Amino acid sequence: MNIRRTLTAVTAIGLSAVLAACGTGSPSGSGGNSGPKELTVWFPGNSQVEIDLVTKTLVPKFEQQTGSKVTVTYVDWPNLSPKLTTAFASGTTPDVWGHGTAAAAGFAANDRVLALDDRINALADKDDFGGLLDQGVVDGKHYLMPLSGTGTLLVYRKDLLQGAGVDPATLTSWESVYDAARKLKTKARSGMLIATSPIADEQSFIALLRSASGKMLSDDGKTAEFNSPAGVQALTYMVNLYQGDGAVAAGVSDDYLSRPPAQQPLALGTAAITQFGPSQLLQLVKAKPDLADKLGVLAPPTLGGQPGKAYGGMGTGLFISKDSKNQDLAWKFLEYMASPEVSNQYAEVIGSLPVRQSARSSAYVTKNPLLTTFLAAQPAYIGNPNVPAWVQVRDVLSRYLQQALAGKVAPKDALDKAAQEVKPLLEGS
Amino acid sequence: MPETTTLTPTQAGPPADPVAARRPARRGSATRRTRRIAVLFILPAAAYVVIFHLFPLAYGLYLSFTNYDPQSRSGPQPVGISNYTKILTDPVFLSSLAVTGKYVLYVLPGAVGLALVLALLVNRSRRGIGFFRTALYVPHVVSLTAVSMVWLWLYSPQGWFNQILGRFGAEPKQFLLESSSALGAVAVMRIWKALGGNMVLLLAGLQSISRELYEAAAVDGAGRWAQFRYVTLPGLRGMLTYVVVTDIVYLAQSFGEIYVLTRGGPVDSTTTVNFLIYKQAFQFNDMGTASAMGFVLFALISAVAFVSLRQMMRTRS
Amino acid sequence: MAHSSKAHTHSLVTLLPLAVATLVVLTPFIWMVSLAFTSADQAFSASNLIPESPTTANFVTALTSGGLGRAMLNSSAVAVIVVVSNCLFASMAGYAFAKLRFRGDTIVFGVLISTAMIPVSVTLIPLFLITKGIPLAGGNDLLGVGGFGLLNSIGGLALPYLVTPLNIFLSRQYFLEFPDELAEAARTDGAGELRIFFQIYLPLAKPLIATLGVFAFTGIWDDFLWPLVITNTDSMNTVQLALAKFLTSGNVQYGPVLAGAVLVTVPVLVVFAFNQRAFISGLADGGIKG
Repeated sequence: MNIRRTLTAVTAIGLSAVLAACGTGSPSGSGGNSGPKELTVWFPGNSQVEIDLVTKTLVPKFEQQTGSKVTVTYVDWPNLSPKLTTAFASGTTPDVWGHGTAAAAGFAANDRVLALDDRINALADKDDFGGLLDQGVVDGKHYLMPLSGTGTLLVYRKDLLQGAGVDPATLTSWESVYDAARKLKTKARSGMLIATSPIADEQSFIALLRSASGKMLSDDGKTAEFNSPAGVQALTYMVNLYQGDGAVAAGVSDDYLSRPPAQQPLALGTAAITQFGPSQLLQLVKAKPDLADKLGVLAPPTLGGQPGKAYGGMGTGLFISKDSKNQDLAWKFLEYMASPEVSNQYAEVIGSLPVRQSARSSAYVTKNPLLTTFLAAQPAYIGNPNVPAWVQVRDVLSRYLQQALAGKVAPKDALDKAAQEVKPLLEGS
Repeated sequence: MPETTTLTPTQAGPPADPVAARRPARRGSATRRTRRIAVLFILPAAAYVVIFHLFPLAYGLYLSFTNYDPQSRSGPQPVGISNYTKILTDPVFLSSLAVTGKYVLYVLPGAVGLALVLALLVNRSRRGIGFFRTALYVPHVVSLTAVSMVWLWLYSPQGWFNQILGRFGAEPKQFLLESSSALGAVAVMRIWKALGGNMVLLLAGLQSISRELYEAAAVDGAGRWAQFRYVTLPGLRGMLTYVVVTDIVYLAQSFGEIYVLTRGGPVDSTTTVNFLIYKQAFQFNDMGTASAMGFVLFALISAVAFVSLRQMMRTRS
Repeated sequence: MAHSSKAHTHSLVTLLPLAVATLVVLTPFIWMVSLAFTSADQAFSASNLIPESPTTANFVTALTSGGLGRAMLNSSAVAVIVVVSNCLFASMAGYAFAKLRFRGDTIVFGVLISTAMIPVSVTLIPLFLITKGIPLAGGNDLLGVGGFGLLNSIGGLALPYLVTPLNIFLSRQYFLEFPDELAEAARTDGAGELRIFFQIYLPLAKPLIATLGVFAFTGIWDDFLWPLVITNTDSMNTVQLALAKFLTSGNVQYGPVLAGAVLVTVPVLVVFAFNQRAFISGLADGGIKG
């Protein structure tokens, strides 16, 4: 009978699939059946203008120059992890992928990405990247080629400050910003909002911590040092913005940055000062052009008289897979993306800071005066420590930061507990 | 002999409707030939389920006894039961179990009770009733990410809920940012989303109740409430059991609405087990621990599903 | 079905609550539709339901730049495969469990159902490996090695849903209610069991088919994690992936997402609206009363 034969076939196929699955234990390497001139690349993010620029202009040009075929996939940030995890498990990683610095140490420790030192050192103009290249260093080796630069600074509404009699020129320290925020606060308005949603809270914290001359981890990356007096000072500052009689802000943990432009506290006037990255700020101004003349950017303020630091530096970088069969072509792609002309075009389209110092005089930068302070602050930008367990460490720290910000645990206790809990994570790595 | 097995609801796990349970076992025709045919009928589905559902399940069980990190090149290394001992003493995991339990308890009564009310309202065959059924089914099929945007707005300080509160002179509340209200707020959206699906199932249950039973009850002088109590509810028991049990199974694995509304916050107050598993597996690459969490959840869901089945079947007799 | 005059007054009394309930339930959706017609700079800035200056720009963006049309085709193709496969294999198995009893059927049945109780995160990687290792697909050899199997293909998208244990259960419930006399009579006439199923029972099971169809269709339409991990090219996008294209972190394009969501909801609602009667009676235990 026909049906019976079909059933037997279905079962046979199914069983051989099981056998096959058992047989694919070892990764077969990426691009298994692709020729020598093919490259697969995963970019993080989802911005349509960026996708159009990369897939319709930049990549075709690269393909033409090198006679290669490049397959680009854009994967939005939150989806990058499950995709990479399954790719690692099955040996289907792309030749090149983009990611933030937070993931670098994990990739490096597991021998998943290629060290780029020889190639980077051979670059004639590597000094043009300033300190950006160093953020991709794990255990003394370079793994990342910067794709975009970023920084998080305080942005204020000029009109609101003027109305409260605050001169922005005096806002050079976190202490003076706090005093100003007290004056700016009304029933319907927060004086100052800093990013306190999970993950962003850690970025706000490290900026304050480093401004107070504190350190996140010991130099060898094996011990937590964020519960130092500097750490307590930093966290206390954050908590005082939201809790107690001196509170200057409402809506702790609110992820205001991911709201649409019209819902931004600065646009609504529900906050006088908030934190912004360059691309988010440019998007806000693009959506609300009337705000352009009303906004000002503060240089990283000092804390306790120490020079101010801000979270920033490399936004995204590109890795080359250790399993790539076309590592030379992959490097050519990285070089191409970071070349002066391409990287500047890229920065302009996504609204990020250019990765090269030489781009400061470009038309993109000069026609956007709001970027000036972001660029000038570049020496003050700091990133997170590159240790393999960082993503997990950050999750633990963020959990305790949230408890402290909610006023449930004292800053010192929260940091001590977090330090205790990350201990096995850091030692195991 | 095959005659010894009966597919009664309590044994099978899943509920059968009362009529089926009362059906006299019909065994005479179960010859060797029909048994062979039965195997043949079940084989494709069974082979498929074994390969694509049970094998991954068994593999996951194996992984729960290893330290598997997909990023690492060394593959899974056996670690005994240490993943289980670790998570069963981990306050974060235990709190996620409590959150999951609370969440099921928040959503279940609303999702079933309100759905039953809606099902009773649309249980008729007048013209245009299909419109109401379809309209009420809309939330069930509309994309979660899209509706979450609307709900994020509804819950925001400027949103409708706060506008209503404001009418009564209350301070604006950040429903999703306060650990006291976030889980409840997520539950309300889930109830809204689950109503249509449950309504349709319960409507089907209502339609399976014989009209003669109502007529007989009316002849006996039973009022509307008595009819509901003595005809509708008993007749609905099979489907109600099905709805409650499948809802428990799905609700206990809640992830999507948490992911889009709160990401587990504030201060882990909405971190369900499945959300924690996702984080453990794909953010921390700790597949061993994630799998162990999955199987603890699996054991609990099976136990709760089994107990509620027993309970609901017992109250019938 | 005949209605008494009493039922008529009854219907008037319940129509008002029904209308109110429907309106309440639909409100967030109506909001969504309203926002889909609102331009980006006005989204969420006003609290009135009717947009001040309605625009269809969001729908244009959703259709042209997100690849939504292609995605709907892909999802439909996957849904058709899944519906056909479930209607064939799940209904066969359910029928066998209901009509042809054998030793151990309860255990087999319990095991089948239990697979619905484990989170997808746990089984995702093994399932991915199996999909990659399907023999003779995507450049694989007979042992499933060498190529990419069914990764990034319509078949791969459908693979985990071809037979759903819950559908086996529903089919069993449905066939339990069929009178055995049909089969008895056919057997006396010398018909084989396969013929009895395919020529007598299955044609009578149209409501069941509608039920399995609606379930499979809505499930496939909503799927996100599986398509995300196994597809790599825009040409294989499914509806939820296409919608997610507008969800750029930090810069969500509210208008196009909501417009897209409204667009992709329509086919599912059409499927439901046309099948709802059969769908519901497929779920109602006795499909062939009287």
